Amino acid sequence: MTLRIAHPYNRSMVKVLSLFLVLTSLSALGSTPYCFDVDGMTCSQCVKKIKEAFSEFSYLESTKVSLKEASVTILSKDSLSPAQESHLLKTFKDLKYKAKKVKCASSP
Amino acid sequence: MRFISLIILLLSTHLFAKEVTLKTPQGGSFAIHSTEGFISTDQLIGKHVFLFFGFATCPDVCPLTLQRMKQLASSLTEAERANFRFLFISVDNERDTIEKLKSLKNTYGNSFIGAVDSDEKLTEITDLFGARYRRFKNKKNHLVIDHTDSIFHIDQQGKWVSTIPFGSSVESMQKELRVKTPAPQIIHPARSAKLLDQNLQCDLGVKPCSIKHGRDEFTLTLSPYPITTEKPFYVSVTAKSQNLKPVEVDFQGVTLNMGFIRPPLSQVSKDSRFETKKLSLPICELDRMEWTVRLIVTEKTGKLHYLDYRLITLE
Repeated sequence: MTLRIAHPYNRSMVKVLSLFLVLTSLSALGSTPYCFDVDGMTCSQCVKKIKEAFSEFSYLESTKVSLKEASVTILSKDSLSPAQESHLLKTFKDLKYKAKKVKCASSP
Repeated sequence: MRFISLIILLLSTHLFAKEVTLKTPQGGSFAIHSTEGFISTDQLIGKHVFLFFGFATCPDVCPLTLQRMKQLASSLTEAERANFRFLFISVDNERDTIEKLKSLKNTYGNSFIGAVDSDEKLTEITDLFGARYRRFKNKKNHLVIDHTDSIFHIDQQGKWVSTIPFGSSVESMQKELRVKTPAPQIIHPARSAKLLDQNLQCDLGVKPCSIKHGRDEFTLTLSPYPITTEKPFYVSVTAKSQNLKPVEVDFQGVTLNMGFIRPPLSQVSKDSRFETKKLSLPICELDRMEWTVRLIVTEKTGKLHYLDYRLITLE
């Protein structure tokens, strides 16, 4: 059985509703960014080192390192627990960088 | 009249820009201020020289490389050690002095020669080897230095014979010193090539890009996607042409000098598919880096042409 929507207003409503549903589910699935100010990243090898270290964490989606901004932005699949956050900070420390969590420009 | 002159100027600039000289770095002798005084590489003939560009306060690549060099020197026989020098050229002339480099010599032994000079001199030397360096301040006003991390092997005749990748083992470097490596034959240190065509609208970072020129068509594919600076990838070319054969592909940073990156292409199948070996692009400080990817093609007569493509790498 097929659903027939004859009235143009109904069609528009369906479109709006579909868009709303898509956006809602995308937002629910969306990643959470975590931003860090990082001291001690003085050469391009630091980018590789940090990315390699964080690629070990299965709950992280991606790591963006900016040498110019002296910052690292990590995207997590879900919100991180305090223990996971401190694990990230410990990783920075183990790599000999001083990192401080800061509010991301786009964070909720 | 002024308008006509402007048109002529623009046209002549355009026509002039169509022909380029493709230079291939081939090493060469140079002189520099060092821990041994003002030294010329000609004075080092008779010795194997491992040349490295770094800086004293470098946290990762340089200490690791210096440590490997120390291990390498101690693994050699006395006679071999006497004929081996590790030339560490600092690209941090703002902070590194000869005195500071002398303290590194105390740590890393007599095979070590530390050197530092003006930016003009450093650029002249890095250009000889197709290397690069760049200093910039981050937003906290701290100095960040980006530099090539390979070692350049200059043999006992003063010829640059090979480039040793970062992180190579002591054993492989020992072999490099013991087995005579023939200097690569650079038949054309500088060749001129004419622009055939370009496609700067398509981004090779996300999809294959094609250029049609008359009856010929060249499609460039980089894989696997996405193409980023730290991840290795391959370049493949599908050429539909009777007269032109792809030979090399050259990567040039549009706004930054990223050093010499021009891997050769080898034919992999009869259907005119060509491929490079695995390669990776150096990391830079820009979040969005634009590259000109120049496909070099040759006629049967040896005459060179090129086609320009565009690549954007995102951090």
